[in-house]
This record gives sequence, C-alpha cells and structure tokens, in this order.
Amino acid sequence: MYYPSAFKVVPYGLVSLERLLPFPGEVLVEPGQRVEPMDVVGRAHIPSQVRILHVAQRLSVAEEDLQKYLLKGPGERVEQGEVIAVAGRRPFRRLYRAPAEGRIVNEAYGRLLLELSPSTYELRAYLKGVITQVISSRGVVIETSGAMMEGAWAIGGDAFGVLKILGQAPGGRLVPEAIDMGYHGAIVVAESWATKEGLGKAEEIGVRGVILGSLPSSLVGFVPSLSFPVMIMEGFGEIPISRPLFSLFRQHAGREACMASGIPHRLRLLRPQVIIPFLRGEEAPRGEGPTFKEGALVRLVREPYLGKVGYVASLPPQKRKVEWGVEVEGVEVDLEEGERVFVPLANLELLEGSSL
Amino acid sequence: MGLESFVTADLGSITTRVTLIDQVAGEYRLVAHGSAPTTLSPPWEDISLGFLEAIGKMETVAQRRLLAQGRLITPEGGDGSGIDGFVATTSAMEPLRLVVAGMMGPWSLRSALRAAHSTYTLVEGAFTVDELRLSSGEGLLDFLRLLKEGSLDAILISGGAEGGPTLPLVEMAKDLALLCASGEMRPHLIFAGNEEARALVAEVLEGVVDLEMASNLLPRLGEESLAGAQELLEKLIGGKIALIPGIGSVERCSLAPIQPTARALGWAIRYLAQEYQLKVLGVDIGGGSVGLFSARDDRYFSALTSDVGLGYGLDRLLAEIGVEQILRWLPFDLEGARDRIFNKAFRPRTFPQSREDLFLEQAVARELMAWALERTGERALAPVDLIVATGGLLSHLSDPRQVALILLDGLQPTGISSLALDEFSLLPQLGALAMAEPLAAAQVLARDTLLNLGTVIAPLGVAKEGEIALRFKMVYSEGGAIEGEVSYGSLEVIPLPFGQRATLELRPTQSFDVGLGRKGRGATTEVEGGAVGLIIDARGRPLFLPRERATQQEKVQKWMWEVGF
Repeated sequence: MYYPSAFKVVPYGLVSLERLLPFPGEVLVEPGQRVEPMDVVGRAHIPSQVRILHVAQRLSVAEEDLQKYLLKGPGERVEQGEVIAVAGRRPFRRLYRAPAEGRIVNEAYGRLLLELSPSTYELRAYLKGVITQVISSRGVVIETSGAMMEGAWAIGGDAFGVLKILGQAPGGRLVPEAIDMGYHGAIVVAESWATKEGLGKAEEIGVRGVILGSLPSSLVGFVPSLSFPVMIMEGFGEIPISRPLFSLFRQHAGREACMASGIPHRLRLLRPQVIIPFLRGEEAPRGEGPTFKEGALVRLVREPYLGKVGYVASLPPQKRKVEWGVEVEGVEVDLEEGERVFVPLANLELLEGSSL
Repeated sequence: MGLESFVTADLGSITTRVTLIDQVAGEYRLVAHGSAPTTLSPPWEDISLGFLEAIGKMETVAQRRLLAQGRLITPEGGDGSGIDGFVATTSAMEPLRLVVAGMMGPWSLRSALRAAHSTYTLVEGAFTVDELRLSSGEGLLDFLRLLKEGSLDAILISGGAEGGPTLPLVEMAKDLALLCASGEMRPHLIFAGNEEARALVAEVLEGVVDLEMASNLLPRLGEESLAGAQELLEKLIGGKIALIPGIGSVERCSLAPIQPTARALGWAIRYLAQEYQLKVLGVDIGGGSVGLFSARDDRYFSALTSDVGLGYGLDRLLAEIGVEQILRWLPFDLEGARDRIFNKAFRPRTFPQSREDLFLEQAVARELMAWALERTGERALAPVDLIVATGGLLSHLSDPRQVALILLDGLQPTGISSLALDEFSLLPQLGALAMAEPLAAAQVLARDTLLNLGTVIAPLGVAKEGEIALRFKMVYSEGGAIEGEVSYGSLEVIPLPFGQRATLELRPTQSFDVGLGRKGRGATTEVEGGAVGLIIDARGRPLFLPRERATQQEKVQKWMWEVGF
C-alpha cells in the first residue's frame, strides 16, 4: 500500500541542516571542519535600492565616451553631491553630482548603476556540528547528533538560542501575562497558540524565536513584522502541539536549539525544522525510512480530526466512503483519546521516529 | 501496422493520473484509468514513484501487465502485456519567473501580460519604458534581487507598433543591459516588439542575455498576436519540466517530450471547437493553477494563474479577495473557515472528509473561477455553446448537480450553453496523444471523455424577485411534453435524462434576453439530455447575494435545493 506523507521526528540520531546564503556569495568553511553555532560560515552581498544614472545624456556626451569623463567608476563609493563626472572646459564645465550616497556597481551605455546602501550578509552556523558538504557559493550542510522535529509552517528566517517552555501559559497560550524577561534571548515554546499581544510582548522582551502548536491565520499578515521567526508544529487555528512532540520539547528544555524556517518552494513542501544538538554517549544512529504498517504512529492533518495523534489499527484493502459519499483509500486509526476512526490516506502523516 | 495501445499520463502538482487506451472493435477506447498522489515533496522527491504507483493500480483494474522492472513494457506483447506507446503532460514544474517590460501606455504591457499568463508563469515585475527610465524604487530593486538570486528565468519585452519609433525601445534595452550585466546570471530575453527595432535591440543586449525574437505582440493598434511569444515561453517551460526530480525516467518511455498540461488541454478545447463548430470554454481547477481556455471562430485564448490553485497559493487568494467572499457560498456558519483554507494551502494534498469541508472547497472553487475570469480583464463571460470542466475537485464529486451549480455560480454563463465534465481529467492526456496518434485522441474524446451534465438557459435581465422571467415548453422526442414558467431569482431543473432529446420552446418576458440579443424574443432549440437535465438559471447576472449572513445562507441553500441537493 502507498504510504502517506512522512513527518520527520528524530528523538536521537544523526541530523543535518542545510544553511544557505540568500544570494550567491562566498563559503568560508571546508568539509570536515567543526563549527560552533555563532561561527560565520558564509558571506554574501545584499542588493539594496539602486538607481540608474543617465550620466552621458545629462552631460551631453556620447555614451561610448563616458568613461573619459568619469571621476569615479564601478566598485567605488560616492557621497551625496559628490562630483562623479565632468565634461567640457571652464567656464562651460558640466558637472554630474551623485544624487545619493552609495556604491557604483556598473557602467554601460552612458549609464551608471548606483547602489544606495550596500550591505553584507553573514551566514552563521546556528548549529554545533561538522560541515559535511559545501554547496558552491550558496552554503553548507552541517551534521550533528541530537533531536530533530519538522514543523508545519514557519516564517521569519532562522534562529539559535536556548529552548524554554512557556511555564505559566493559560491553556498553553502565548499571551502577554505568560511571558517575562526570563525568556529574553530564548527560543520560546508555547504548547498551544499565540495572540497578537502575546507575540508583541515576546518582541519587547527580545526572544530569538517562537514555536507554537498553531497560529490563528488572521495573524499571518502580522507575523512577518516581528524580528524573530515563528514556527507552528500542527497547522493554523487553535491546536495544541501533539503529545509526542511536546514531550520531546519538554525533555530538551534548557538545551540550545536551532530553528530553520526553510525556503518557500511553490510546488514542493519543504518543511521547517527544529534541531536540538546533544550527545547521549552512544553513537547516534542514522534515520531509517518510514514504515507504514499496523501500529505505526500517525497524526491527522485535516478536519474533523486535525491535530489528533493515533496508531494505525488496520489497513483496509478496499476503499471506503467518507461522509459525503465518495470512496477513498484510507486506514483505521485508534486515536489516543480511545476512539477508532477511518481516515483518508491523504489526511494523515506518518510520524517517523518510532520511539515516541 | 500503426500503434494500437497507449498509456497516457498527466502528472499534476497533487495527483498523477494515468489512462489505458486500446482498440476495441476497431476503435480506440478508454480501457482503464488509475491515479496516485504526485510524489514531488519529501520524503519521496521523485515524480516517477507516484507515476509507477498509478500504473500499478491501473494494472490491477485492467488485469493487464504494463510494468516490468519499473518500466513500461513497450511494444505490446503477444500475451497482451504492455502497450505500443506512451505520452504524458505535466503541471508539476516550477513556473517561469518572468519580468515583463512594455512601451508607454497600458496596451503594450497588457498584451505582454496576456502572453505571459497564457502559460505557467509568475510575473514578478512589470515595467513600462517610463517607469524603467525613472529608474528607482522597489520594482527595480526586486528585479535586481531576482537577477542576483539567479531566479529570474526570462524577460519579455513588448511594444511599438510596426512603423513606430524605435528609440524608446533601444533606450529601454540599454537600461536592461546595465541591470542584467550586474546580476549573477544571464536571463533569457524575448523581444516581441516593433520588428524594425530588432537589430538595434539585439546589438545592445547580445552577450548580456540569451536573446530570442518573437513576432510583434501588437503589430497594429487593436491587433494582437500572442502566438510567437507564447511559443517561446513554452519552449522555456520545457526546460523547467526537465528539472522536475525523476521526470527523466518517465520521459524515457515517452513517444514525445512531456508537454505542459495547459498546452495539451488547450489543444483538446480547440479540437472540440473546430470539430463541432462550437464556442467552447474550458475551465481547469488544478491543485497549483487555474486555467481558462476559450476557443471560438478560429480564435483561441488561454489564461492561467500559476500562483494559485485549489491548494497551493490559497493564502494568496485569501489575501486578495478576503474570506467573506468565499464564505458567502456556504449555507451554514463555519467556525475557523479561514484557518481551514490556510491549512489546505500548506497541506494541499489533503482531502475533504467532512461534508462541511467539501462545501468549503466548493465555495473556494467558485471564487477561483470568478477570480481567474476577472484576471483576464473580462467583466463577464461572453456567451459560449459549451463549458467543459476539468480538474481534481470537480472530477471527484460524486454528484453532477454539485458540479453544475459550481460552474453556474463561478462562471455565470449567459444565454444557452451545454455543460460537460471531464470525469477522469483525460482532456490534457488526449491533447498530448493527438501529437502521436490523432485518430486515437479524437475517438476517445468523442466517446469516453466527457460526461454531459445538461443544458443551461440563463436569461439576461432584471425584474423583481418572483416575477416571471420566462415560460418554456419542452417536447420530448420520445413523446410527452412539459411546460412551465420560471421566476426571476430562481433556478429550475427539468428532467431530461442521458440519450434523450427534446425540442425546447423559450418565451422570455419583455425584460429578459435568452442570448438572442433582444429582450422578449422567443426561441426554439433542440436540447440533449445529461446527468443533471435542463437547467433554467433565472437568478440574473451578475448574481446577487444579500450581505446579511442569514439571508445569504437562506438564498444559497434555496439554490442548492432547487438544483436538487
């Protein structure tokens, strides 16, 4: 039988993380090199506002002759008002002044391309581990031993910090009264969902990241304005983190963790990840492929069972009817609450990681 | 001896569908079909796995061996195993990321956008010459970011009627050359403007971009010619198809390169229009895109939204139209509807298990159609003879009345039209098959592809709710007649089963036009039976739904009851 989507959870094993520059740049490490979370592993130039300066036209000189009149060329910085090209002789000299401070990027056809506030992006490892692969001019793959959980959705980039479970949260929610300065610099895990005010307070306090069970979709437009990444483990709405995942978070509270939001892709669902590096004293096993069989742990990802977890009770060979009449392939699942339900294959995810 | 048996496939963004076609009593017929989830996301990341799974299911249904060592058996063996040929289409590739530039004024940019949206593209930016020369702002930065990221596939330049000035185009080319030379990659550039400017533009851009020349999109004012640019865009999409993980092992068995689904579907819609001399509209609600395909009087037009489908990109649809626009189609309150739509967007392969979730997806499908139509710049759908629906949700529906009502609500056709459903999402597969064996495609299209839902009469006009909009008399060819009147604001379904024909006499009241261009003018027409029957949609155009939620729900429920579910 065809197995459903697998949702990766590694309680302990070898896990790897791809760290990529937002733009092609320079990779500063070698395969085999050990890295610490705050090590810079790559660097890239970030494009900023640009202006096309039609200098030759303004000076009334031929486009192909512009270089003869330039005082500053590609690669050089200029100040606002600085003369960057001169044509003609006194008293009929014509000057071209830089309209803004910046760096000249390129010159062609009598034009200059001026970049207004060039900056450099530094890619940090965010993970203690070993570089296993260098992706030419784009980034690295870092491998470590520890725990890994895939999230359902995330936004806001990557983060590194100490994992702290929100202690006094009413109903497990991230609300203003649940969070205080003790969470400054931490990756905060709230069992359930967050309010806008709660996230605002987290911003004031200066958290490095927030992990939630879910998020009301009405806050999706607000979240990108925060300075830290937000990851949800289950889906949109008001759903708590499923039992096996939350117990893993609890187990590792106080350890350093890395949140990676992943790169959005139109037709391939690349999930965000939380990685918690640690050593258990034994050699970390490599993950095996998922096994979809009776007894497998699954979580349900669509109404009316969204957010519930259970075990596969049977794999019926025949299609079955859903509530509105169509026949689909599915399985019977024993929910942790005790109920046995039929679920279309498309609506469940295999929780990869059997020791949960 | 020609090719006798085929497997065709459509590798969609969510579902992979396969079909077995073979000769039965001297004619090509659909023998079996199968489907499986497309395996593009982790943990699979190989599209061929879902393809083989779908073929495996079809083997079971057809009781015929089609695979050996993970490959299709070709040619067909003496023991009946295997097939003679295989063709496929796909919509699972990443769309082309495009920047469009045009001359001053809206016309040239509009034509470039129409060419771009005829296939799988994401238009990341659109400039006119003026905007580029003002040369600052976010748009320019986005353009440069795309170049730096290496994720801009192509630039499409339109503009300049034949015989018009060439200088503005050359100046624009110089600005582009400056920008492109600053990027990390060499994008494709399709120049589809004034032909006199070609050599001058080429001189500037040669060496900075991969330049291709297409025929002028707007050779004369009011005359649009999209085909040249479309062809070059589709050629570039071929490159995107080649990047789909695992596509190579599927294509290895194929008689022809794997085609974009929209292109093949467009062929099928054009074929229907030409063969039966009809004005045809095709609507495809896919998991990652929505397509409208119009063929009438030798004119063909397609419009695709490649960033939104009934799954991927629904968050963008919500951002544009708001959740209330979708909820107005539900006959009940639904808590957390917005969250449910978001969850579908990020888990697009999930399936509506509950009735309320199904109604929500149907509501989304209505708005997707309306939105796709609006994006073509048309205020309303021009009258058509035949509307053909295809795509995941619609073909899953077990009740054809639901499909008919979704089409009526989403597209709001006027006049007299037939409705048909591509039950197995076969049309694009036949479009691809037509390139290899046109006779097979034509025969299967004629016999096994479309489920006739029935005929819809939608008079145009306004009256008070409850006033008579039209009277009708239907005389069945097998004897018997039925007559009645339909009031404004209501839907009426008159039984006319499959295979039956009838003569329909329509007598609209003085305020209504049944598509004859004059109010009150009556008509007599032949109609054919279908899964739903004859539908008289006298709800008016555009459809009006009250703002108040309870009355809105009552009205939507009434329409559902009137159609029969």
